[in-house]
Amino acid sequence: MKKELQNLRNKALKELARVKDLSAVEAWRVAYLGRKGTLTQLLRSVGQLSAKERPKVGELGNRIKEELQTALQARIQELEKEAQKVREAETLDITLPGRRPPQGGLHPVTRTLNEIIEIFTPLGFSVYEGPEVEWDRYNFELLNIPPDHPARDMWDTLYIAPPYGKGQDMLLRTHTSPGQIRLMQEMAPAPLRVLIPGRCYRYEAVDPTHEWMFVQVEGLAVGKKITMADLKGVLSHFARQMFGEELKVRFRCDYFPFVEPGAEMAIECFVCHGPGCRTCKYTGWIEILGAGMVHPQVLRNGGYDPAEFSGFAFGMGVERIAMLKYGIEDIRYFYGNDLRFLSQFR
Amino acid sequence: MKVPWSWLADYVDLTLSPEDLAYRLTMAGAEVEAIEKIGGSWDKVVVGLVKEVNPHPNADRLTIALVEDGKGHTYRVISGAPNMPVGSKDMKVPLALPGARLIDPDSDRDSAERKEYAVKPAKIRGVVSEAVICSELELGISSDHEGVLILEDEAPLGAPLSQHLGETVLDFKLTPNQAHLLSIVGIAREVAALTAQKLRLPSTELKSTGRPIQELVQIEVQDEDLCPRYSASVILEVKPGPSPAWLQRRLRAAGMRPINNIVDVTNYIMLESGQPLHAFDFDKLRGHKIIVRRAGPGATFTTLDGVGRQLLPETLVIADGEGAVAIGGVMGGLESEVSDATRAVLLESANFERASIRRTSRALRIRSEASIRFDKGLDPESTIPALRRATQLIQELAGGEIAEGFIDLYPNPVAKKRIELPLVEVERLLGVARSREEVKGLLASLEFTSRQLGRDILLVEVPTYRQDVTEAADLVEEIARLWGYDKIPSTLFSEEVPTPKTNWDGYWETEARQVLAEARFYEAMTYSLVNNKDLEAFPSWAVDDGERLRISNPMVPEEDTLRTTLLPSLLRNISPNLRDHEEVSLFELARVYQGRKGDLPEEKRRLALASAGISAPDWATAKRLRDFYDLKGAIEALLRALGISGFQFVSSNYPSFGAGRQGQLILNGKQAGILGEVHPKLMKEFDLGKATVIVAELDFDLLASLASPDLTVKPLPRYPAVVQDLALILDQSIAAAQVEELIREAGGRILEEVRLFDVYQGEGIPSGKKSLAYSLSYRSPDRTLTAEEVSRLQEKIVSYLAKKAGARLRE
Repeated sequence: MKKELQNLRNKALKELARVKDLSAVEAWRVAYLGRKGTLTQLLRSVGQLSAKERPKVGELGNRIKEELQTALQARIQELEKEAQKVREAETLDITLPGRRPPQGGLHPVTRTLNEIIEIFTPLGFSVYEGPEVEWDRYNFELLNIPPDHPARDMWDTLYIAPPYGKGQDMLLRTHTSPGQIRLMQEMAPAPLRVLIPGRCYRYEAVDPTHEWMFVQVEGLAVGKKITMADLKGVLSHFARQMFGEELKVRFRCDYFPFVEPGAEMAIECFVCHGPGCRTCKYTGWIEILGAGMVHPQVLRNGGYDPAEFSGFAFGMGVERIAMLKYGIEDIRYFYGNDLRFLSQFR
Repeated sequence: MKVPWSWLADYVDLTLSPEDLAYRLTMAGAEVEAIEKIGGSWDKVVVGLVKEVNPHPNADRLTIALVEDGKGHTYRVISGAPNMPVGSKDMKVPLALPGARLIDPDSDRDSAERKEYAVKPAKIRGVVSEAVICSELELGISSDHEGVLILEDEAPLGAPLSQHLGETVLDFKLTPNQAHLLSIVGIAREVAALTAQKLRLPSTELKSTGRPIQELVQIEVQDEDLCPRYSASVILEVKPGPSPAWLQRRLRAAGMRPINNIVDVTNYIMLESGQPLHAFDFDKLRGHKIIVRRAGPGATFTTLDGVGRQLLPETLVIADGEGAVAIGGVMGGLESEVSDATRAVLLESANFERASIRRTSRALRIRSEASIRFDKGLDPESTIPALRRATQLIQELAGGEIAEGFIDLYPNPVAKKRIELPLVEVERLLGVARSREEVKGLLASLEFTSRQLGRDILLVEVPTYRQDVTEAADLVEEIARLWGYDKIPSTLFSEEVPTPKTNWDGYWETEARQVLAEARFYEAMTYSLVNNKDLEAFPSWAVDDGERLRISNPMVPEEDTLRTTLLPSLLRNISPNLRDHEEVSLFELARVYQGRKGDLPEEKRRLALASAGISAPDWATAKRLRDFYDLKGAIEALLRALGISGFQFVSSNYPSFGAGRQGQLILNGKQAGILGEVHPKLMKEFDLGKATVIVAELDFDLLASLASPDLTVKPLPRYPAVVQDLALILDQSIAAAQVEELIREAGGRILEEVRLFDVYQGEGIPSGKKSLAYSLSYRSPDRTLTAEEVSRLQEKIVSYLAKKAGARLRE
């Protein structure tokens, strides 16, 4: 029995020395020291020896077991050290570019419009769309801009040619405001809060700040308790969310035929903060949007009694907001579709 | 509109700096676009006195002037000014001393940023010129560089020129409702209201000594609807000549050119009062008669700019005994213009109907100082005060005798509007209440009088020059802007959120855009108007694209058609981008337009994709050309994101796409889109070179209508799957979709997933055949499958495929 134990010990140690990796070490452990391992089984049979032999053999067996366990731990450490050495020799060049998932991008107008919608949605505004090809009636007359009115100079118009357009009755909308009338006519006398985004068109020569096609967002809130203070609060909230919480916002009197009182909102120039620079045309202020209380005639045209209902409306050019937000110098980039421009929006 | 500061100061005390006043005015609605400082840069330019002018010894066209600077120094100045010939003396001129900076007359005269130069002694043809006598251009007063600026004799010798000629000019950008501000007095009234000062109206006193006007002229208004009021005066024995310097200076500062004392007065009073005036040479009015009437058919007329014009029959003309002498409110005629030979003048101060003026000025393409005022709507009450002012001033400047009285045809005098203003209206609209006294006071500062009508209602009387004020809301704006918009509080709605109203499925638009942006595509936005020829290259793939709408006045003449497909627009953006990028993948979500008889066109949303070039994802992945399956994969990903299943791609045969290289997307049995390689014949037209371009266009309205956010999650399987590969050899013509369908038929319920992982043709495969390799995954919901079961099923599939499609196993 002693001899058997000695032979087993020698064999095991020899094998352990030859073991090359950690998984083989584990196999060695199972083969000798595991529950069904050879040493374990041999030690179990010690119980069958005579009482005289038992202690000596038992002692030897346990010594060998301990010896093997120690050797095992030492071998594991040795192998780990070797593995570490190998790993160290095979390092990653962590400066190689990572494998990026495929990526395109959204158009800056979409990005900006989404952002605008996200700011107004929590205030109860939902989105409504109107047609891009409109009747003169909706684009002008019902918005309190009769034919031959001097305010028509504010919008140079593209007209639909015959046979569909007759005279100048059908046109490409010059602003998203006709959506106001369409929605009011559909909803009156229910209160409403909407954003009306979409493409607009004007007969306008293209230059760094003018495009003949652009995207506008109209806002409209009609109810029994809507005030100019609400207009100021809602639009100031928008401006600060969009351009910076700490910016000053200014409202001045302005004219649009479909609002009264009318207003223009400007924000403190976020480049120079007051003294004047190129961005704010040396005024310290940047015009953001036109707004006002819905004109009583427009409320009437929409089916609301202006003695009972009031509302505010506003309109802004999405490109203009994007230009300010992203420092875009030329509006022509928006419809140029140059990937060198588009790929900057990720 | 330009308002010189010193002129404005005639009518109101200016208590603020130009910058502060401009800000106040702008905030209250009269936007000051710029503050120009004439003379702000005139450092070292003084009033000089020309003592003598001698010929230049070495140049015929040049002269040598000796100019005194008022401080005992005389400068020798070389000049070529025609208005300062040899022998001139005792003339006051602007003298620029060394170190002064002047505008370079050689720089572009119309450009906003003019170059400057510094004055320094310089030798000209052998003689040293020590200083410069300035032209208006060099001083930045105007673009006139014909001669030097000659100052009036009263100019103080030696004083800085800026003290004498300097001016601050407020340049207003007025809105179309501000007819009442289109004058210096109008602005002064606004300034008075905003700064709590008193308005000083100019005197309208006049001394007439001549015969009664009725004996001199006969005036008749035939079309009162277009001419609510016609007032006129006559001045005899006038002497036309240049206006005095102060008048010329004011006109120039306000942006007008002086002509002669009579025309200058009409312009001056128009600028002052806002009421346009016209002076006729009285003796050129045939029959000393004036008839205000419509032109009638076939009339032609030569305006004072010398242009012969065809008039529309409804154009309002001022006629004499024989024919038209002016287009009422728009422009006078060449024939009856005041000239140096004029001896008597008929001065017209009339009111014309604004819409008619607007139609005429648009039809004739004339925008005169008169027409831009009339077209905004003027106060008929202002004709007589302006006429009195102008008549008196002409008499003072050009001499002569004023005929007694006026002609004043004013059959329907305007009544002052009265508007009821309940005080609660102020709070209801502004969100903040103002007291009765405050409201009355603010309105009174604008010359609106009000009296109480019941406890909390004011009856407000509106001045006749405020035609823009018609309702209570207009009064509330006046109150708000005078009080200050900045004083109105900011609140976030006191009203409950109303029921949301939307007709927009923005959720799906956003989802679609996001999926494509995550699949290498960049979102493009292209013009809705295109060249009709481009649309012809892509005939309808949908059931009906309808008729196309055209624009009658497009920005780019050939791009006049509202598009019926987005494809050509995207294609036009491929090749310019391929110059800088290996891969170009674009998409656009926008509307197309289909004409409908008697109605607005139908606007439908389309989603278009286009891709070309080489995919080079990263350093470890092989490059390859973008192909059909890239787009198909993107569309599949899109449909998955929209929750649309049960779609099908079937082959199609549209002429714009390569034969056998295109297909249609079918959803619920409906055509939902097209996908294919652009036909080689279109490559040249769209400037695509040799690039293969794959495009797709989808009916986004249909997609959005079928899209569904619904999702039901299956429980996780309890038993393991067995996965086995299956490599088949089949005829090349058999479609993969068909093979998959057969596999599924044979596999039954237990066959959980079929995944194609290899398509191969070439070595080892007979010609005309192809190899498709699938990974099949089997799983039972209620037990662990045995190996025998799975191989039996796999054999069944193989024999089914052999029978139905002639397939055999690839060994």
